[in-house]
Amino acid sequence: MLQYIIKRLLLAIPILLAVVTLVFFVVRMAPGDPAQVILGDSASYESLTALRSELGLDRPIIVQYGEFLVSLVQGDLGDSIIRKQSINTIIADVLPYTVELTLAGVLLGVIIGLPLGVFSAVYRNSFWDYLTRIGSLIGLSFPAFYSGILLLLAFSVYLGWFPVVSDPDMGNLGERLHMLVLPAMNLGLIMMAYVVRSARSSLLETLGEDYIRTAKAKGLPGFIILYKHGLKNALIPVITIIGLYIGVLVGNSVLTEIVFNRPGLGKLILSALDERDYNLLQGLMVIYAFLIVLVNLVTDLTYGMVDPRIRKQ
Amino acid sequence: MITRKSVLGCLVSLLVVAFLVTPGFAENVLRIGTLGSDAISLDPHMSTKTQDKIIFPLIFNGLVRFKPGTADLNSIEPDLAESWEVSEDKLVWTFKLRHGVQFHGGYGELTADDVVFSLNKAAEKTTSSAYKEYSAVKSVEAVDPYTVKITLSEKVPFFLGAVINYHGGFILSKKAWEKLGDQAAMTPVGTGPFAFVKYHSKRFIELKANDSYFRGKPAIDKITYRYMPDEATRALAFDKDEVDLFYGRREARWVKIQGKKKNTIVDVFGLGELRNLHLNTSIKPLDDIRVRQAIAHAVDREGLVTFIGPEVSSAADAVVPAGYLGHSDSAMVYKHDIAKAKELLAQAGFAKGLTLKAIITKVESLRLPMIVIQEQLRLAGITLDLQVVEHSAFHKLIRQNQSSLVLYGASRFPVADVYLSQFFLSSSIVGTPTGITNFSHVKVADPLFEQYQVWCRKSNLDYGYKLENSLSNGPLITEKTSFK
Repeated sequence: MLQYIIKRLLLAIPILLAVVTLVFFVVRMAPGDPAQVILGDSASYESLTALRSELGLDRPIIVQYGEFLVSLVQGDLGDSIIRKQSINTIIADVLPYTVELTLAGVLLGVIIGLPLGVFSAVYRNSFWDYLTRIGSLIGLSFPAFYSGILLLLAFSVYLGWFPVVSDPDMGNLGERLHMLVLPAMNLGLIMMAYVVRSARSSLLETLGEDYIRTAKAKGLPGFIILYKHGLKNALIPVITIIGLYIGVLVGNSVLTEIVFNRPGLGKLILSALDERDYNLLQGLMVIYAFLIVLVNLVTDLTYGMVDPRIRKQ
Repeated sequence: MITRKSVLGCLVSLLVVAFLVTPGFAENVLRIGTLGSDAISLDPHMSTKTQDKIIFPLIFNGLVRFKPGTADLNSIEPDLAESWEVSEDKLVWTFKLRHGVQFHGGYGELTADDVVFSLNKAAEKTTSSAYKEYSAVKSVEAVDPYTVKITLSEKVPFFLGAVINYHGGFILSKKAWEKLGDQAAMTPVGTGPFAFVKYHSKRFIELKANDSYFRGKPAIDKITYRYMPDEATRALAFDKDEVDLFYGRREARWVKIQGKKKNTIVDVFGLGELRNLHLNTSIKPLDDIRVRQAIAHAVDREGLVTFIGPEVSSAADAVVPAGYLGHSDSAMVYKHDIAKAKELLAQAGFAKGLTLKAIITKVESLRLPMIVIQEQLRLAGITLDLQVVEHSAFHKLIRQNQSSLVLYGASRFPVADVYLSQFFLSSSIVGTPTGITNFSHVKVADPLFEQYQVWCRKSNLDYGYKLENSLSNGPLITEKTSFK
């Protein structure tokens, strides 16, 4: 198992390299100028050129790329162009917020989505099935910023249960959990929609298999057939979908963090893009790519836990 | 050589804020929701971002200051300087400092050394984005601990602007700057009514009342200045009483809705941005004055004001914003006249109309008026092919001379020469080494700058220039030149 994990992590290196290389060159190709951000609209071409030179942005791009890679293999993401702070520190400050938000969103989505998907499959074509499917369709259709505003209006402004600004002190666990609920619900709704749909279709397919018919013929109770023979076999595609859409969730966390005014990688990436802080943007992409690789690895390992046949392979 | 200019709005609303009048002030804490997702820099000489500029006057002072609540250069007040004198030739300025002014954080009493340090820093290219404003400063000397002498190499139209509580004019603690080193830019130490306590990246800044402030302890004990990039969230947080004051939206409908809320005041105030439509004379057929005049006649400024809302905008009457020293409200502007526009186009050889390519940002405050202009021009037979790009790309591309029309909103230090020099002086033409924001490639301000003909038409601020034509001629310079 350990060998497998190491192999997978080593395989991640070329993926990370490809991502950071792409990001490195693409962000520099896009029009925009960090020097303009620092000096403002009234800066002359002369002073912008001087600052670009001071920041090292006028050096050949391949030299900048080489330096970036050298720092990267040393575990140093460099300094922010705009704020001159260490990117490792900037990211470390907000990473816990994004991680806990994403995990809470996934957890909520799975806890609510999986039973609903099962329910929907078992009561196929019933009123409740249609209701669940319509609900999940709505969850998929709502952009995260819009559903976020609706949640804020309902639960913060009208009911007053949660604050609008979800910016907790990391040392205060109670406050953290309280302020996590709404943003996690916002992300969880999206995940829930994916899980409901995939669980329903996968379970329906499994329930139509011969071995299920055999189990029924043997006179096994419906509960056992559903959970032991049906759901367990239907879970693999659901896990794949969860793993796949955690990436989507990380993307949606950008919008969620902005709407709920919550610190995190999402807000960071937005300002880095806006300010053309190339170094910070590269650093963030490395972290995002690494997180996605990690999620895929965990997904693969989970297959083995659910299905012993995969473990043996 | 010319441009046709001013289209829209002398807009009164640089900042639209709403604030809760009563209960939010329990415990004397003021919670502000500001725009932007983070501070760029807390060094007042460096940052030009709105979210940073709002907070600087709370922490720092200048030698002189705007009268609170105004941007009126006719009523400048002493700030850290008790008084000042100027020599006959207007080249030597001597400021007497207040005694006993303390810097925050135990950094000691303000002395002339701090002023010398601060102004030298403001004049240095590597430590200040305002350095150009100090190009005429020959020396800054500490005569004694409470006297500062500034010598200029040439007469400056409005020198007090360089030592006022704005941008390079803020006075920093020399001792703190040197001690804090790399941290100094994000750890501001001033003499203002509020002292910096802490900064949480992407989250908030906390300030506390300066108990030993030389004008007396502020009535507010603490300020939380929170970065809230999403305007809708700022409004919701205000509704939920989580912020007391927030940066609003420059939109009439928004102002009306917010104004109806209980215990709420929406304050729309100037000086605002002036949005000029710069016509790029280096791109054909805009080198033809008749085409530019046609555009000027085709644009309906009142129509734009109706679209944006009279609550937050008004039609501009000059290329220099209203309220700036040197602005005139008696300048000639082209009247909206579609028939005349078509006639001029026909004379220029475009009887069947013409197509122009322009770049515009996706930021709504510029994109939407540009779409209205696009429709107005269409009525005159001018097709505006608009390319909508991301905001920083817009700034880059228009400086690369890639747009025939540039709709640009700007507010600057409120004296006309700053505006004129950045937008209408030949040395500011984009694409040149000294280029700034002269998008129209005009030289109309050159004669004024060469002859020092500008700026101080108010008698109490006239530092000796004999102005045959003051800046009340602002827009006329454009017109006169254009007919040559």
